[in-house]
Amino acid sequence: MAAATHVMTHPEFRVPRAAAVPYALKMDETPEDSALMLRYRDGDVAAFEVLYRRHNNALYRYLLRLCHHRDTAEDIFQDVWGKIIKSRQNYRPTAKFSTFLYRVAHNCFIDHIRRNKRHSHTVDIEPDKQPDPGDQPEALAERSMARRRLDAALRALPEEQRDVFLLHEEAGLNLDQIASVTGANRETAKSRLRYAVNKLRVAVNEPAETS
Amino acid sequence: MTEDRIRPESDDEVDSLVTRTYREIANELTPEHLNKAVMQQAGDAARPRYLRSVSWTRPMAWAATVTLCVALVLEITNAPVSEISDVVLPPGRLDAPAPSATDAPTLTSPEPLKAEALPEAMQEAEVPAERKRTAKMSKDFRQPVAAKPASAEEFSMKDDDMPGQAREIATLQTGDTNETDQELGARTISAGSAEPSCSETDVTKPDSWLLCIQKLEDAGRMVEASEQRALYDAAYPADEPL
Repeated sequence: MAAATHVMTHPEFRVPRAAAVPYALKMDETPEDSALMLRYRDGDVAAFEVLYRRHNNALYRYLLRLCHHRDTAEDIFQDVWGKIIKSRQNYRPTAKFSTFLYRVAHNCFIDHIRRNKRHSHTVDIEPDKQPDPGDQPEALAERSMARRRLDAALRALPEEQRDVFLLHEEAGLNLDQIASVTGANRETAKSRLRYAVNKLRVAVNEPAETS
Repeated sequence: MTEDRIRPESDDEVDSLVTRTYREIANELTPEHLNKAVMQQAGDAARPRYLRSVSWTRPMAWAATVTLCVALVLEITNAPVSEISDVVLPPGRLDAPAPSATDAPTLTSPEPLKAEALPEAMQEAEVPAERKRTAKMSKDFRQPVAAKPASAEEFSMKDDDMPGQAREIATLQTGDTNETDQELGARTISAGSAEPSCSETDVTKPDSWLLCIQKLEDAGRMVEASEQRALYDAAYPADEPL
């Protein structure tokens, strides 16, 4: 690796474009999100596609669990990416791209709630689509029940706690980043996450009889 | 399970069982139509502005071109004949027949002819309105415009040769319903072959007058030529004819 880096940085092997584009990527490393975004800002659509494929499913699940409505989640999803695309000229890699992405998503969700006061809690997502075929029937049933309980508990969480939990689980953000996205301070975010996890743990560990 | 999920950086807050169970239920993938829509939007936004406009300007340009062509063809096909009102009519021979030898004034001196001495038709510079309207019709025949012929013998056009549109326009514009189509057509067509006899400028000099007489003879207008020759002989008795 060090030898490869040495070869890549040797003046004879240096790619001229790298000097002109400071965020140009080395061949042996995965491109950073911010570098991809900057390349897209300069017109590289392929870079955007890599970036999009990296985040699309997690963002979709985040919005789906947050809204509990597929059509609404899809609308917000398109809205979020539309804003990311529009803001590419003003994008500065001062923070992690996922923080920027989920802040936009969080704000879009808040805007959606404000626009639609009669926020529908229609649930049209099915948690048990693919049971694990290797388990015993009793274990399968127990896991299925646990999933149902978790899904119900997640839906029953207050919006702020659910938001924090999903940002932690889907976006992989730490507490500072969650605080930045939600606009709350770090302790508030930590408190919300702890409350959410406790409630979900109780729901998952709940005996089958009581559910 | 989903490989695209990002591991939280501080996992101590979240129970591993909760995380594992959550990941079992959260396995939805983005619908393909959403992926296509977003990628399409990203592609469109990345394209330069001048290329983005091509998608609608090209058909618009074609439509405008076709519309203009059709409008031009229709305009040419159905153009009103009144557009050629500025046709220059030659002086003389508009209303009056060619002057005869008896009508012509007798010239006794070689001085240039005065305006009063010329035939009345040659003095007329203003064309009557009816003649102008008739002249407009000649656009369809693509022939020079002239005045009404002196006699019916000059008629060379039959009824069938004249376009119906020209006939109709002539009838409407002149308001003369008694005028026959033959007269109308003849007035229009014969103007092309008729030329004025010697003009005022021709008769001021002997050479030009003789040349004019020669032209009249060459054109077969012997009556006018003989009239002009008589006038010439009266004006210049000593000269020899050409």
